Amino acid sequence: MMLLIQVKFVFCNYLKMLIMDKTIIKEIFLLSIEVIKALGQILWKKMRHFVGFIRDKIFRIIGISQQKEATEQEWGVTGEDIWPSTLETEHEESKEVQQEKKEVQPVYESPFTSEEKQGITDEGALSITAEAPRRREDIEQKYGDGKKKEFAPPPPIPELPEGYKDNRIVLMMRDPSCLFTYWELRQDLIQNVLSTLGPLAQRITLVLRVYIVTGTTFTGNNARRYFDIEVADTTRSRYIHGEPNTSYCIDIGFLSPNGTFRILSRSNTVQTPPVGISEIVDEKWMYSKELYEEGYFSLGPGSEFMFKRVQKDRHKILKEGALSFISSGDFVTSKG
Amino acid sequence: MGKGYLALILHAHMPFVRHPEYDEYLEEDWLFESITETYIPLIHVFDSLIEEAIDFRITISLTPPLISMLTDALLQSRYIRYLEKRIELTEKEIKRTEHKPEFNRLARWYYKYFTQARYVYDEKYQRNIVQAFKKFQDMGRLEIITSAATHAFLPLISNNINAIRAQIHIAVNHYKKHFDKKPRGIWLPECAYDQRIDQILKEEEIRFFIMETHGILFASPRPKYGVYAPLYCPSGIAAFGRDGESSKEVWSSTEGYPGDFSYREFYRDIGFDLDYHYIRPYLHGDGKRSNIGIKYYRITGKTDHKEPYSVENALQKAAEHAGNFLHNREKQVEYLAGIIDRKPVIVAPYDAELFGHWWFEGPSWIHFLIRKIAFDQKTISLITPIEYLNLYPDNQISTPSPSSWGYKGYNEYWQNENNDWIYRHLHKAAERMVELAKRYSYANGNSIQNRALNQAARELLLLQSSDWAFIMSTGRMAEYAVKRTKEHIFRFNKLYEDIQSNAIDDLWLSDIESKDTIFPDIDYRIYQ
Repeated sequence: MMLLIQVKFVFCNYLKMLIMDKTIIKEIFLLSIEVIKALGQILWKKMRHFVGFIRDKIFRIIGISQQKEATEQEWGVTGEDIWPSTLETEHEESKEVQQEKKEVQPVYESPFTSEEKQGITDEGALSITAEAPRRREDIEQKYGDGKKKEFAPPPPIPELPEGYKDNRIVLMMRDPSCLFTYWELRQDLIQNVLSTLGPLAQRITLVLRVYIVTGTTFTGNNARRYFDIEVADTTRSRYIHGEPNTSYCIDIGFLSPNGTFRILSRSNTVQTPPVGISEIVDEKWMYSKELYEEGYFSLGPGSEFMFKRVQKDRHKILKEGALSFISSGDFVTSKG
Repeated sequence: MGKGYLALILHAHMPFVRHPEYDEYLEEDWLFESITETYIPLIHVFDSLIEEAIDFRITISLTPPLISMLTDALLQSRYIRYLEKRIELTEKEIKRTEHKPEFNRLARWYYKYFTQARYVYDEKYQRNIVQAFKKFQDMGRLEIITSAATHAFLPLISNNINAIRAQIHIAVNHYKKHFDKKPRGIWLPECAYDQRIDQILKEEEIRFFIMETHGILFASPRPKYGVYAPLYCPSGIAAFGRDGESSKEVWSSTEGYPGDFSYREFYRDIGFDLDYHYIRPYLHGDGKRSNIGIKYYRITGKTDHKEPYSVENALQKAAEHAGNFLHNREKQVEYLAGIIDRKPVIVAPYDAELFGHWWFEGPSWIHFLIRKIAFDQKTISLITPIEYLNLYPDNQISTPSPSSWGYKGYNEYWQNENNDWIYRHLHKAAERMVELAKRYSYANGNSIQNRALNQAARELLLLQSSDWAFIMSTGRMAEYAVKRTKEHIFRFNKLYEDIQSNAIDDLWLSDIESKDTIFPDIDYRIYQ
């Protein structure tokens, strides 16, 4: 526009002068041609843009291509193969993908306003996916279900519920030496218990009371023994060290300094499996001594790993069983 | 007369991955790779053996999610597209390698490999390869067994017996629909067993399952024959234990056959090796390099330098290894026959996808092994667990020990710091499903309420797939597993709330019904 105003200004001045110099007339003529050319070009561009806009409005081309591009980009979030690949190739891959992503960047991180972005997005989309999508569409048309698909950006991954308003503790067996427990406590019940404790309530701690209940039906006071594990108020789960062939049950509750334990919830009972062969022998099925004594058994990979965790050699385990099983992990609070 | 038996058991499973909301989806390739590299080659081996009039027995578990995907029209058409792309690429490869004869030969070989796969898949079996397996079962060569409905790690959800019952019952019904009979055996996902499970198997008239070695060795009373004969659980279901020696020879990537230097190198795929702009049209939308399934090199050795692959040499090695495996089994059976008073059965279970996908020559190895068993010896015969039970119906009664065939032999790989957060949600959802099934026991057949209740059951089942916890442990692709877990939790909980407040969102329900299509005939009342 500035150019136009300037040209107009110069043109008027020349007219005012009205000096019929040939060179001046020639210059005026050439200048007017330039001006007409420029105006024509601007008009042509505007018209083309208008026609394109109408066409896109009718066939909804802009909408689909933009959305589709967005969908394909989002794949990057989860797009890798489960089967392992070598580190080098991963490295190589990331360079190329980065390079390609750089080209696409305007689609996502453009500083332009949305109106300005519209034009750029279209160009970006065309230049990046010109080859692949065309092929895909061809093949899809040939073999697909024939339906035209609308591509929307994937919905955000929903967040997990924080809790279920339950008051419970659940105990699970992970391996012969490791238990896992998770819990959820209701605030109103906690407040009830705390109110019965009076001034002691200030000095209580949340504990897991782990009962060993092998061979009994646990009633709350017939455990063989128990131990306490202090847990932070914010904790919601924990791994606990255990022993093979043993039954466990857990109470979660408050322990006050004078030793009073106020239960909030009791878990189910679980039993860890034995590690080692059974001492019970069935007379009808007298076992083949040679088979066991020669330690003939070769083990499946899962069993191999299992034996590696036991502090005895294979022969002894097969003959005598094992008392402990080394579980990995530090029995710390998990991320739950 | 032979002296013992070999029970080859293949476990075929893929998690339910189907994303109609996208034009294509990287994780759907897991299925496509397995079809091309494992299932079609196995079908080819079985068809060839039948043509050669060789008798054989193999047991294979086809899990309900795998069968559902193999019979899904959308995934079928996408698989054809996957093959077409590879055929097109091999055509380009033949041109590109024109002046390099050893690669050109391979490119031509791959062209044939993919076009043959298309023929078997598209023409011969009309895109439904489950029918191929059914055909082999109907001929008496294959024993197809089922698995839990969505491959749930049963001991980690067994605190809710209805959840276990649903996993088994739905799987059995699914099997009947596809194979016109009841399954006689089951593959417990990850061989994970605890004592609450076998009673449920009994209800469904299942007769046997497979366990890891120490599940049988640590059974009580002490098993007379160790893992070389089945035990009857107190419920009456037979438990077969895995033999370690035969496992190691095949499983181990270092000591085992698959690591031989002549075999195809898994990690040198042209999806990673070739010029990016050349290969770009065959990668997924995000442009990340991924496996295409065309690999030109052999393992060669523990070096970065790799030699070109030779199909002929690799096949020769596979034949040698089949001979070696058979020789070892003969020795094993001869020894065992000397110390126990019945014919031993060596149970050799493997992931089916090991053959072909990981160990490219694996299906050929099976082919050679079966031929050699038929022609080269008389010590052992192939058998299915059910045939062994028919031969020896009288077995010791003993309670197996909880165990799994996973890392460290128990539950750790599915329950550790990376994935233990899922269990409070899995347990709660199962509890809520039972609650819904009891409260709305008479939902009208076509009502929206009935649809929502059935969809809630589907979401719960998909949530329970052991695959998500497994992938979270491996670390790779963990984001996808977390996403799937959270989505199914969200969908289930929303259904639970909407059903109760009588405010079911029809549009949204239709949307998730069109995505999570597994078990179209499900009846949520199984949770009552």
